[in-house]
Amino acid sequence: MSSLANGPAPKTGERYVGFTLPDIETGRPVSLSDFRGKKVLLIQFASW
Amino acid sequence: MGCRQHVPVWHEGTAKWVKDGKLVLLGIAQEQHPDRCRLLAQWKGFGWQILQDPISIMGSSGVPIVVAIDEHGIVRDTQPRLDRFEADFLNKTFADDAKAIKKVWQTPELPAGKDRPDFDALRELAEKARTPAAWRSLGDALALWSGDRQVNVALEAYARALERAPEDGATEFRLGVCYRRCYESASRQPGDFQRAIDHWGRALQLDPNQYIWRRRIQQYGPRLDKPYAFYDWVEEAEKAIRDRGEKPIALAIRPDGAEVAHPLRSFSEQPGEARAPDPDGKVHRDEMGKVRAEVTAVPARIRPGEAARIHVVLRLDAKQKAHWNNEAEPLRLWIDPPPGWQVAERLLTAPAGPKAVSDEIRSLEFEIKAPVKGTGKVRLPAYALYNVCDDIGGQCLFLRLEIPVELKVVD
Repeated sequence: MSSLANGPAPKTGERYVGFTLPDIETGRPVSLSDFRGKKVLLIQFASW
Repeated sequence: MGCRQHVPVWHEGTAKWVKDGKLVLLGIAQEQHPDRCRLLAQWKGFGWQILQDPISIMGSSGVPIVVAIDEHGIVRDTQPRLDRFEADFLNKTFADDAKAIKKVWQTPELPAGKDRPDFDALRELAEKARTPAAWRSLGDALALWSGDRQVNVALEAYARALERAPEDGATEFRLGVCYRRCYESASRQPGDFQRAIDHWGRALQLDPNQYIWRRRIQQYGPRLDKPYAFYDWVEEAEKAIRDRGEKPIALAIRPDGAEVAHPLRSFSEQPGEARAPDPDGKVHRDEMGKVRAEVTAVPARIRPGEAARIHVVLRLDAKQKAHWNNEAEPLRLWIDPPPGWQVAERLLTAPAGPKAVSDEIRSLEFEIKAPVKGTGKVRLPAYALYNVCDDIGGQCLFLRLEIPVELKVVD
């Protein structure tokens, strides 16, 4: 079902571009920077 | 491996590290209806935070994408392997040694302490700067953070961005997302769904490698073009959740029709001779407009020999207080394809509600395949027959409504 990400994909060794998006349940803003100091596994996905 | 298989593997494989506080899992839902990701998460027991990105602002062209990000926010692996994840990533301490990068995308900024962008400030900036980027930022902020409340303002902002940068596929895609939202809202306008499909189609023409954009069209498109059934899992998930004593998350828009249809590898017409229900056109026409039809072709343009899925929506005229009469024969749709065109089913029937009268929106979908030769704009005759009453004159009538379907066949 999936395809390879061939857009502006993040590259190893680069700082991930900071982002803020609404939480799926609460709608409250969540930023990547909220997790600074922790190791993060970021998963972009869809339910289809 | 697809998302529904791939993501649970990471969820289960990292559960111990998440529990021990060594790792944070953070999801981003890349779909038009993020609550469907919520349902998947409930079904699979994902306890981690998921964010929503229905307009694909992250710029990713496909899913799933799994990235390991260290304690400094630096990418350490873009295709991590679960069997080496602990040794290669979790057990390592990384230096804050990021290379400088050029920002290729960004999400709207929020003022400190606020839970929404400052829409007024963004509008002021867009009106002053008059750049496509500034208008698109306003559109993004509204599309992501204002729900359906200001979707019309988001449409206007994206339209202004497109005026200044007509080759911007991302803006085309986001316009499509907003038009589909309009279509699903109480303030829908005729043609909203077709506009969504048209904008998604143009976006894909500009960047055919954008699989998230392509999937958005396929979600509503013909089975010949489907890679898989998109939402056939929903009922299974809801049953499994109920079986364990929980209440499934209620979806704002339930998937049906094309969204749950399974792919076909060859176009098949239904065997048997369907008979036209009003071959001589004797049934009275709905001249009072008690029912109005809206037709959407997905995709909007097809090549010779390709198929399209046609969505027909029938709405009652509220001003006339019209309602369906369910005690008579059900609503039927007859499609009369010209020579060379194939239709999977020529006669469709919409199920009537359990009550004697009802006023719901009725939807019917069918697929049609163009001849292998010939291009141009084609008008395919179709009509609906239904029993409708109104509370003003108190009349109940059996009526016919012509529903011409227009398709563009291009080389």
